[in-house]
Amino acid sequence: MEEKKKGVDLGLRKFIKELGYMTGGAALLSTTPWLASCTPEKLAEIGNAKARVALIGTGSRGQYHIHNLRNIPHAELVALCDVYPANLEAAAALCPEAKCYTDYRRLLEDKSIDGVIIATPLHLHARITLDALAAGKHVFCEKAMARTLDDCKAVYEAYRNTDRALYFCMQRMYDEKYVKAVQLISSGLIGDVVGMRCHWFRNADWRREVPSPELERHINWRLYKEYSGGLMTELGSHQLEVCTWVAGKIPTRIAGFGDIVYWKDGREVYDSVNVTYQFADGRIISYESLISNKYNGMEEQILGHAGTVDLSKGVYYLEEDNLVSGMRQLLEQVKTGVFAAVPTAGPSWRPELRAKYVPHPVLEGKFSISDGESSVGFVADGSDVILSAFCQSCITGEKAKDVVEEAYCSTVLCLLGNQAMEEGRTLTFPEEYKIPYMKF
Amino acid sequence: MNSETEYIAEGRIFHGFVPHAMGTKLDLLAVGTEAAAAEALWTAFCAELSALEAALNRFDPRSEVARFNASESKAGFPLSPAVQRLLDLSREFWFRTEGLFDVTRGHGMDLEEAGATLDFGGIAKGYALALLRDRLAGTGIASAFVNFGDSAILGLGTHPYGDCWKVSLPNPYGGSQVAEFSLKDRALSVSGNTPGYTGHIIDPRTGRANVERKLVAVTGPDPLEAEVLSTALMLADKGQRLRLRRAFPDCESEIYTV
Repeated sequence: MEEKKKGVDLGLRKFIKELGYMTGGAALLSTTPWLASCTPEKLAEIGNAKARVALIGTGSRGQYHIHNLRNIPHAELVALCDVYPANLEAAAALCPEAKCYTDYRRLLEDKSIDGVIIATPLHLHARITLDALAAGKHVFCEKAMARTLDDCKAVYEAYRNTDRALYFCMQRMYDEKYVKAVQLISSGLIGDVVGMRCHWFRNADWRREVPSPELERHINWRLYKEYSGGLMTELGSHQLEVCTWVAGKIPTRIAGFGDIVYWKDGREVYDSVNVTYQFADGRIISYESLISNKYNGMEEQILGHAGTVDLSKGVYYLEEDNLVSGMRQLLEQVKTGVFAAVPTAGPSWRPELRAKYVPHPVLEGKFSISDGESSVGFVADGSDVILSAFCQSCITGEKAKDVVEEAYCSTVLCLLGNQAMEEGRTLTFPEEYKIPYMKF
Repeated sequence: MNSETEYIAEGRIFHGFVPHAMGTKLDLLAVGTEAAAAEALWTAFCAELSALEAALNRFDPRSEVARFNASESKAGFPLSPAVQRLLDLSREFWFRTEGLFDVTRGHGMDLEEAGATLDFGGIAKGYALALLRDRLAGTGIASAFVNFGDSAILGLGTHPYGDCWKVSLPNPYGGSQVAEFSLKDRALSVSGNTPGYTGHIIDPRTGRANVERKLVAVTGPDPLEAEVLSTALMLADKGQRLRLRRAFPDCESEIYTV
């Protein structure tokens, strides 16, 4: 019990509280309205209540969630479900008290379960989410939202018509360094946002070991189009979500190229993608992912006319840094009647050198960043916080604002990116997949 | 030479800015002046700075220094009065710094020696600051702040709301500031390496670049002395440092490991 008190929840409380202090509660909730449902005050209100949750899909990501659930005091994992015995056994070993199922529909019949956590292959997300909502469960589903555009729309419509809470694991929305950085961007730190560059590079085949050949497509589901949208849905969905979050808008035109460049091992999904999304105002999101070279790592760069924020690293760079802008400070001083030292002395200033950019952390003290190499998850990347928020919703019944909408937007953009690459043409955002949340 | 100016009528403050000069930029803030007088001073100074740069830029083959460096017979090369003046000053500083400040790039001011070439990069900005200081005095401007590329700074008189001009030195490697200086009729020169620009100070004795994470800051009434001393202290050993400080009694200096 002592152990649990040190877990996710204290982090969550501290996190939201500090953000509230920094920005004034109202400002916090205007840029991140989804945090309104999981404030420390609301968490305190639930007392010792526990959400009874079940996990559907007990592979590596599901087991990652089990570890996080252990640190959430208001969560109790009561059931597990998987069709693959090896994964189900591994998960059961982690929480022997949970009841095991091989058919999720049987699990959903258990009225004592408040919410389900879905960590299955992508093609099952929509069906299980819809069934679980219909069964009256609160739902936390892994990203992306669904395998097809129509499935996304169906999930979105179901969400509009349910009183149940629905979350998709858009963990960046609950990652302190992202929240703070987006606040800094909206406060004008980097001036006008003029473009975005996201990429995710790894050097690995993305394969899992297959004990027997007939399991290939099931275990390596990420590599086959029937189950997976490839790099776009598995990696791009997180990064594109960040872009729409920052922009507050959805791109109108999509074009790209992709192919299987290196891992020609029978897979169907591209191992190299490069998609350009253009907003109506002309700004561009440049998205790239390649899994046969990791030099560039994972980055989400928001480019402003006065600076750059690398969200994934939690740092920002200014086009005109203190070393450069001391004279501006001095001018401001003499105009406003202030006398103070200007930070302008230094070894000779030289123009237009990239190295002049000094990284500034968006948060005080130490914080974790992901190198993007793990295909399971990273410690303290927000996944634990969003899961805790979901468990809180299972108790309070309060929906998290905008999470489903953001997941819908990013997944649709991923799927449209795939379509643009496959068809080799520039797509215009289709009318039938627009939702009221979207601004263009 | 491109430049921008603005005049803040309230406070009678003139701001002149040259975005590109001698590989960096220059700002002048002159306090308590009429716009017309400051504009006239600025125009004249920009012309002088432009001519100086045209003469001293050793990377421009048309420049006087480049032509001198390329010439077969250096003794017979006719130097302009400005360059001759700089060369004379440099010879004096070479002597006072025990050879640590050497515009002949390791040839001991012997221009007849094979391979000897001139490089005024370590003195040109200080020289330009001295020219501007004299022009300001001639125009009767007692309070001004001049920043030539952050490394050569001049504070004349006082800030309009203070008793001097205050400048701080951030650590180029990140972190907190290294020092703060109060300038009143004093120049500040900073030498050192930065993460993006290391190894640009060459030891004339060895020909090797200094790559230490070190900053030298020198203040003094004369921007030329400050600039020469800050470069020399980058290269000096312990004994030389003591002697250099005695040789430049009007200057105060500090060496920071960063």
